[in-house]
Amino acid sequence: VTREERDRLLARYRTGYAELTDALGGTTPAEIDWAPGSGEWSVRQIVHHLADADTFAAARLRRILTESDPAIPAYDEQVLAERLAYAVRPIEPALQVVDAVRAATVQVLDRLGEADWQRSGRHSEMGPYSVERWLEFNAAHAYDHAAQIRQVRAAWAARRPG
Amino acid sequence: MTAVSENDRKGLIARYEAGYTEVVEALRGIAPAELDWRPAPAAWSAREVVHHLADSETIAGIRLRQLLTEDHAQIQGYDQDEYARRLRYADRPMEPAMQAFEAARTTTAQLFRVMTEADWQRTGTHSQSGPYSAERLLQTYAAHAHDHAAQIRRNRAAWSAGHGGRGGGA
Repeated sequence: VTREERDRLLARYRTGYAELTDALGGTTPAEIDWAPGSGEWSVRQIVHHLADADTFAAARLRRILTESDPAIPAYDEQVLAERLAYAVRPIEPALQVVDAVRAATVQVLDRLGEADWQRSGRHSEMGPYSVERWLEFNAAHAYDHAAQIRQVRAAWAARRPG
Repeated sequence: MTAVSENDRKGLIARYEAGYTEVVEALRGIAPAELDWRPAPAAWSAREVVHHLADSETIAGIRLRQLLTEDHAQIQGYDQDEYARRLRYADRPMEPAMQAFEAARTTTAQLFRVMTEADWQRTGTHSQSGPYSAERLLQTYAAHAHDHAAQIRRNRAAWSAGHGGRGGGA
């Protein structure tokens, strides 16, 4: 990854929360709990997924930076959504998690040396998992789910009469 | 640890929920020099304590989620002093850490409030301390923020005593 590409990814990670709040702008209570299809997530569930995923990601980064080739266990995001009551929990604290976890992690990323970027762990499903790979994934993650929220909202608007 | 009655559990959850405010109170009016002062070379400054709280409390939130969603969850210990050094606790602004600490507690308290009796007994294995139940996690973290708030107050009292201030008035 070139320096320019890394800076672009850092900017995407840094602005992920703003992208999310932009996608959520003006959401109504009914809209936030509407699932576009059986087994698909509502906007509320997507927000809780992002809060947990960002938290797990931040902890993984810290482990990669402080341990030698740590094991990075995968987790089952569907099981988390079901067992952790994503469908019914208020989203404001989850949004605060996304904002704060990203802000604190940006501080860590901004202070990395070149050797830090080459550190890695071992993901239980994906194999070698470097800091650069971590950034590529997490730079896209909030944007991808913001796009998903916009799609759910568009589908919800389209199904309403008139 | 012995089993916790439902009443005791409610008290522990209330203490857990009050932990962020306790730290805010302990930091009130702290001066920049005071924030970065270490009582001993290997002891943490108040700033470092706050970054420790952000990281350890988010990790506690992950541990509870693992216990609730995985059978035989493996809970990994970590080296908190290595975190402080390598993650540059000493020179990072602390506002995002305070927000992360608060938000981790708020979302995790949402889970505490809806957990069933069976959920409280779910148990994983901690890499250093062995069997680790959801109940034990609550007992540990109900005390964690208050303990570190007390540490911040001790730092401030010692700093004040060494800088011609009020003395050990904290």
